[in-house]
Amino acid sequence: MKVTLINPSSSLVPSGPVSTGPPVGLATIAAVLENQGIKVDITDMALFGRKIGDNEKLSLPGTDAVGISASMTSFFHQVVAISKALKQTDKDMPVILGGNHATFMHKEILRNYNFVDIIVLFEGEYVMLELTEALSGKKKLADVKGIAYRNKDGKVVVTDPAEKVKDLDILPMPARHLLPMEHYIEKKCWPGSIVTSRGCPYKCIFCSTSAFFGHKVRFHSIGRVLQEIRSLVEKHHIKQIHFNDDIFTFSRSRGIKLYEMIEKNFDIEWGCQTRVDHVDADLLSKMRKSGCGGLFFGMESASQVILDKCEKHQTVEQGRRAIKLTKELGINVEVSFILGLPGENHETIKNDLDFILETIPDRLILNLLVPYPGTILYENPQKFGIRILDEDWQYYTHAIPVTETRDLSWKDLLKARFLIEREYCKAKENYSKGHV
Amino acid sequence: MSKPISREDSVNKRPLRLYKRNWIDVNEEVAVTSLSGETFWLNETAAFIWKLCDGKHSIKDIVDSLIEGYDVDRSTAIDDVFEIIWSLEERKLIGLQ
Repeated sequence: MKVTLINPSSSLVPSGPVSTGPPVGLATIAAVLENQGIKVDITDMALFGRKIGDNEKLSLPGTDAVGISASMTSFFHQVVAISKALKQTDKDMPVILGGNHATFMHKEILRNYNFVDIIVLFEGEYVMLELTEALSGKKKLADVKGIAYRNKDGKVVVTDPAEKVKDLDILPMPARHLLPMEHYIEKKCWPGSIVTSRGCPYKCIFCSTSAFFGHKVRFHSIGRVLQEIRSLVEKHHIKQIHFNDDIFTFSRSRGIKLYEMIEKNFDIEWGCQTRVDHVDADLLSKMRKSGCGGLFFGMESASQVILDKCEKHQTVEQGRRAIKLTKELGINVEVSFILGLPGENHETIKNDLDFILETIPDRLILNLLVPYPGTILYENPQKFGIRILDEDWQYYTHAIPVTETRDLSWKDLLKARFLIEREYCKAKENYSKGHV
Repeated sequence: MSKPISREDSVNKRPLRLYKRNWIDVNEEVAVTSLSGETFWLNETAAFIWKLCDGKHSIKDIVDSLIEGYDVDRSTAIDDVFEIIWSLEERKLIGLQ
């Protein structure tokens, strides 16, 4: 049996970051399948910006089943186009979707798109393995846990949930040999991406991570993380590692051990994403010493009322301190804000601007609120005073307003984004001049 | 006046903004975002042209409107309109119908 896994492109985004790096999730599924003797190909359309047209046909000779990543909501139009193009060529080709968007929208997708056959719900590695057995006739589809599909009567059937992988170390290393690693390196598309943990204990109302991966954080062992870094360094000569975990510093003690081992064993620069309440001066200093060159914080708002409403469980002061400490240590700090969160008004926008001009992060990401399927916000926007204007997923890129708050129209939100960005750029320029 | 062939071919085309809710007036300028989040600040002339990219006005109509609104000669107006239209099209902010 041969399975082709596809990472789609964004539908409409014509320029900017085409690829966010190697699809490590698909490569992990591929590794699980390969270990059981299944042939696998990975096609990363995002890397080359390959888009499938509405009436295009797509042929994958020798492939027995196709799995498409449908994690990113804004990429869903391409997922549909690819699925349709595959069925135009071979109506019997099983088309399987997986990822966040497909998981949380499985009923709607199966009802509305007859060229999608099966959806893998939540984590996909071992579910995909069982699915290949079912597709080979070795077991019944109804006996595969963790999937949704249409039965012969066209009714959507959801099987019992599959267990999450408790010990991440049982997962094989991502099958990077199936990916064009040289192209990620050449295009500087995060070739050294690694995921060392899954899950998030927080329940921020705008994020679907904990709903997808669970509230309990599961970790790869330090030995396994070092093995993966070594593989990237030795096989691919990669000198920059990016840890793609949601909260890389979630476990302080594990982190400290890991940073010591990185410092001892490698000469690399690395970056990660974490929370402002999960760093302190001592930890940041150890991170810096081991090669940490960049940190991403999801600050989201400089208004405590908004942070509390969103169940972010962090304070404005923690944010201020974390950014200051990180900058003082010479670590590049990237901070994101979300404009249009529940309770957003002209005053809270002013708070954001003041905070940004005071802290001047090295990079600022201004996102407009997107009510992703699977989030608490998407389920009940009225409760939070949010009006959803659009469910055309192509617009769910954070750049264009798709919501309004009680006090701010989409025009107010868009204007705020432009003006904060402009003020930040001016302030950063002045700051840089003063720090030459 | 000699005009490049591509201009002649395009003069009756009607430019159309491709996305909704991606631009706004900010004082005398217009700010536009692409879907990937790049911001473009349009000056007064570019903003005037941008607002006429509604799929109803042809490039010729836009040139005429610019001459009428800004008291510029035809040659300058044509150059300005094509430069701005092509720049917006290149950035995938408008399409030509």
